[in-house]
Amino acid sequence: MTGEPTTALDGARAAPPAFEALVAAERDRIARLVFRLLGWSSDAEDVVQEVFLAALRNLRRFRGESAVSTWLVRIAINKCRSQTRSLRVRIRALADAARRVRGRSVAGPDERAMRLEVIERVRRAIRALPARDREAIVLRYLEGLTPEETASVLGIRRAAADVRLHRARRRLRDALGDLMEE
Amino acid sequence: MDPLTHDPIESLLRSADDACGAPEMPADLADRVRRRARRRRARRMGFAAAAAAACLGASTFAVFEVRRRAADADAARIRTEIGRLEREAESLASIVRRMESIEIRRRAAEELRRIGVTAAPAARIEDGIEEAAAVLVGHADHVLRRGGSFEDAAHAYRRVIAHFGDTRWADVARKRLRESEKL
Repeated sequence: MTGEPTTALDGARAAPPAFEALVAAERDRIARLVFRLLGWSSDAEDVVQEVFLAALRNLRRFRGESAVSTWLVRIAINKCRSQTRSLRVRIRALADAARRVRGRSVAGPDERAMRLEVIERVRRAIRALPARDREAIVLRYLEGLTPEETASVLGIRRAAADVRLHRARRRLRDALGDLMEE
Repeated sequence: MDPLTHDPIESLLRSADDACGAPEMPADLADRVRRRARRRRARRMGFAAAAAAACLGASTFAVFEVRRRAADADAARIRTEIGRLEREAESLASIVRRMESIEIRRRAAEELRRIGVTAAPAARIEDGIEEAAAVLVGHADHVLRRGGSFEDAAHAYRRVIAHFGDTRWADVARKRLRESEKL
């Protein structure tokens, strides 16, 4: 693959590490990525387990053509795509919406920094994005990848990544424009 | 915040991300993943065993079913053949009975002629002979029309020629034989 990431996804290209060491080294970063890709969903742990399960199964076949961390990010992206397509997640999203209507929240510890309603609107807008657009936004703005790294991780050309990013930004602006003016 | 480089979308996303915090992961994540892998493997093996058992059952059932259907088909074929042979035998027996009757009347007529009785009964006997020949030819025609054995029909025609050679039905039988042999 061309345009291999060198900063945020920097990783060793040696022989595959032992599974426990791999989990210990990558757990938090992959968990955070999955959490973001699912729109800060409480399903993250299940998907993270699926990511590392896929890694466990394929570790022997890993040929070191890319960094282990990049490989895991790609697995995570694919698992999140499958997860967002599953019926279970849709049902859970409906349950979340109902919970929101009742005025309760599952937000994190820093929610005092932002009003609950704003967080929920951003979360809803992120979840409403198509998975491919959401991936571009998360990798670019929350994971801090450069446009080239984003394109490389997604396995697409830079121009295509820019199109996804632009489309996602337009949708977010449509959904959250009033918050940005404040 | 630099207003020239400030991106409101990125800022909003980062704020929401900070507010949502980091997901909590269990310390024994690797162990949990390994347990999940073992459960999946066991489930796969269970599915494979169930599928193999189902395939075996299905193939066994299919073999029995094929054999049963073949046996049913054989039985039906045999019943049909028995019915056909029974009808054939009944038809032949009827002809034989009529021929015997005709033969008795023919011998009676000869006897009457020999002792000089008038011709009227003899004429009636001649009619009976003609009738017998007609019945035989009719039977042979019937066999051929139904797609039966050519040999059976030819045998009947030859009997007419042999036993009733001086009747007009013997000519008919010869003609039929020639036509049949041409086919």
